[in-house]
Amino acid sequence: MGLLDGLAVALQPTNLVLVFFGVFVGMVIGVLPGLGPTATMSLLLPLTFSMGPESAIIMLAGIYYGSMYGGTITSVLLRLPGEAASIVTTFDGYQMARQGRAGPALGIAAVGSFLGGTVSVIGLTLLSGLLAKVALAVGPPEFAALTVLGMAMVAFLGTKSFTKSLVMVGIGLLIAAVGQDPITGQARLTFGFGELLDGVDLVAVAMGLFGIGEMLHNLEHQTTTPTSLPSVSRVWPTRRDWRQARGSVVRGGVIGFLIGTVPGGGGVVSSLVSYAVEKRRAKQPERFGKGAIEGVAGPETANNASSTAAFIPLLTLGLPSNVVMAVIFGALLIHDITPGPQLISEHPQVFWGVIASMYVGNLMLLVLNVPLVGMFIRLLSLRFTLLAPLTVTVIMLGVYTINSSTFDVWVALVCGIIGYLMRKTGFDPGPLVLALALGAILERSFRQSLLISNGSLAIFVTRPGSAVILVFATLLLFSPLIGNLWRRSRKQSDPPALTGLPEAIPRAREKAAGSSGSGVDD
Amino acid sequence: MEQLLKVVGRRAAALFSLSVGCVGMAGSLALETGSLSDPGAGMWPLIVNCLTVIGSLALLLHRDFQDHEPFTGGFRAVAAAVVGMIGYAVLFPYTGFTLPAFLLLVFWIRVLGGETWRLTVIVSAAAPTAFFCLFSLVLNVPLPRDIIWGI
Repeated sequence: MGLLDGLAVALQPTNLVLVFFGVFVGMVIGVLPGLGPTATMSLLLPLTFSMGPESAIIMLAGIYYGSMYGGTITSVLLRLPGEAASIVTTFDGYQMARQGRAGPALGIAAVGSFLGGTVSVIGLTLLSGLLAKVALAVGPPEFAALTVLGMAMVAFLGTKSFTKSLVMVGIGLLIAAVGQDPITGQARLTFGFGELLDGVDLVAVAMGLFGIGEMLHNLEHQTTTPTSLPSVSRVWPTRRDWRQARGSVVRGGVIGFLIGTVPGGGGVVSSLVSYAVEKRRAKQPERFGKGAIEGVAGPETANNASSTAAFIPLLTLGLPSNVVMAVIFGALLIHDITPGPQLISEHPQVFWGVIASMYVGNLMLLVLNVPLVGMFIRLLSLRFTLLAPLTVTVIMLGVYTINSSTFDVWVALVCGIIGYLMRKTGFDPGPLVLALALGAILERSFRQSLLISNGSLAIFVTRPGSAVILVFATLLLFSPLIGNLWRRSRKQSDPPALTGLPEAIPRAREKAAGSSGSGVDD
Repeated sequence: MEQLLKVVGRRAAALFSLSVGCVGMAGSLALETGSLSDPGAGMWPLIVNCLTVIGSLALLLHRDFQDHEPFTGGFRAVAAAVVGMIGYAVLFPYTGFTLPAFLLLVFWIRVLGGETWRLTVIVSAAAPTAFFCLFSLVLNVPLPRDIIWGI
């Protein structure tokens, strides 16, 4: 049995209806703040009990893609990322919307998502066996190094202050550490609150910092908000947009697929890496963060490509690499199927049926997205005096539904106030939320590495994979300093062509160490 | 004195993150930190808090406050909205969703937004009803008992 047989499974009328239902419901619910893919899939999991296993996973996977794109819509239009991987889209997507280019931003995200998903499905079909072997070689030190790289990306991408981004990463990791020790189960940093034993919910924090915080910040400047709403007459990107974005889409697809195949990689890291790559490659990197279409096209393509590729560790190794995959893992177990290397031979209709349905699902998403973009754009014509309270009300209700916890409502509220104050004092909430999402992975792999090496930190630099990743992360972390020194050295050297970098850097260091006031004169 | 207040005010965010780091560090040290070969529950939070504390100390030395936004008259509306949301969160477990959502919407749309009473009442009544039907009846999400609908 292969992909063609899988297509026969996916194209059965029942499964076609289910994938359509999944994609549509996912997209609509993904637009509602507070309901990300995990909550949506968890809510609809009971519906799958009466279905066959392949139909169940086909529907859940459809919800996953649909809600991912729903998150993109709110990221672009309202700066409310539906899930962590969409945070990067807010950097430029929201700015494009403010400049009246919400249509092209959503259009390029839809096409990029489709192409990214398609690239991954083709890659998954051709390479799943080989990639499973490669993924097996990734151990805890490489995991830890990859996550540190993710953190470095977060700090590097902080559009404001590098130090502030670092502090946000630290606080995000601290919040991620609240709850129970992952190995001993000992309660830690709960300060007597029983509700904190299960940790602080990522969605509650994100919805508070981004959703409520943004609404409060806008409330302070309410009189100016309506004039800044974008005019949206066109959905499709222009030829110039396509020319600018096509390279980003291709690179995003490859980056997303490669990172998605690594357990723990996922949409967050792939969208970050794609954004960083696009910013690095750009002739005018200063456009990023101000509405560059490449900043939407690359990460959105990468995000969707990695979401599809994330099925590889699940279906071939039985390793759920993120929370959404954990829900699908649970759904398979409910149907008496244990994902792993035997899945492809014991339940080929599930393996190939799900892969083929992803292709069908991505196609449906594209077909649904483009005509519906106009409908979602009309959200912006809502007056802020109505939009803000309606959004806050849905957030407060949506946050409660995740764990049926009033405590989470308070978490979102407190985070909303903090998010507002962070905007006033120049802190970006993105690094905190991303660090919170990656914190558990980093701690687990860090401690597993120490157990393997009997407490020696050298394991991170003696293993080639982790060493290379860490060197890259270090370069990234110190790149602002290196860039600063390089610029100073360029200004110092006159004529520049006659002075080499080795001589310029020590001079720049001396200058940097000297009085700050006398520094760089033009 | 005024100069001192200005200096402290500008560094309030750094002082806050520093205090978060210090509290976290104290909480970590209260746990067993163990050793690198056998890390205890407090080891990881301690490492993380060191990052926060070091970053916060670096921020305290910053002299650039260009990204700070001054508080404007609109701050009063923000404070009022926060009070409204606190009211919602207090009522929600006892009255269910519809009543506090209605009150929050009326307060925000009419008092903070200055919209007409007609629009306020229509939106404030229709939206919570629609959200309640979607979450409670369609999606079957368990919500606190709603005193308006008796469900």
